[in-house]
Amino acid sequence: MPKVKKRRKPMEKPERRSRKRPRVPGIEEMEYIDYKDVALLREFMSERGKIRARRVTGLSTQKQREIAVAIKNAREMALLPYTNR
Amino acid sequence: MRVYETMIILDPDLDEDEARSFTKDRVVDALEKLGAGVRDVDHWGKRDLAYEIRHKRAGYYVIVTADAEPAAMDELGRQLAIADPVFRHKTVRRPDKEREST
Repeated sequence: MPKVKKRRKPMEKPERRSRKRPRVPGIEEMEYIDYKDVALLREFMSERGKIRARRVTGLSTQKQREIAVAIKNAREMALLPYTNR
Repeated sequence: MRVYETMIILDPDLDEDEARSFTKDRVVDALEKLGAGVRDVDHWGKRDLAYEIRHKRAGYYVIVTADAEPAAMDELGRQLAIADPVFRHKTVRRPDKEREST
């Protein structure tokens, strides 16, 4: 087989969210993450209903954990889905 | 005393009066008997569930906020677990509300 040199497509830069622009402004300052606040929690979930990774959300360790726990509580109470097929 | 918030999902086939009297008799009165002070009762009413529970697509949601000792909430949880119209229940502490009250 003749060797065909593959042309690299110019890589598109993935859209990058700067560390200074959080998904939800002021989230880090919130004292209590309420599992009843479904609209807020949805910001941290994918279309499929999965919890977004810390590297995507850019949250501090503490807030990421609080969000994750809140989402899990909301799921138990059927406010949020476990999956969205 | 601590501030607790309990969410209860009741059978959506109960009518409004039945749901309210259940909340009054089996939750509010029960809490007061256990030495707790009920701060607030919020009837969300019927709401669609994110997934089916007991083959129902909706549930009747109630949120009760109370000042109570931990043991009182344990006992309430036990009673809710054996009550037939209760689909789900969950109690969380509200440390943010404890701070503003002291």
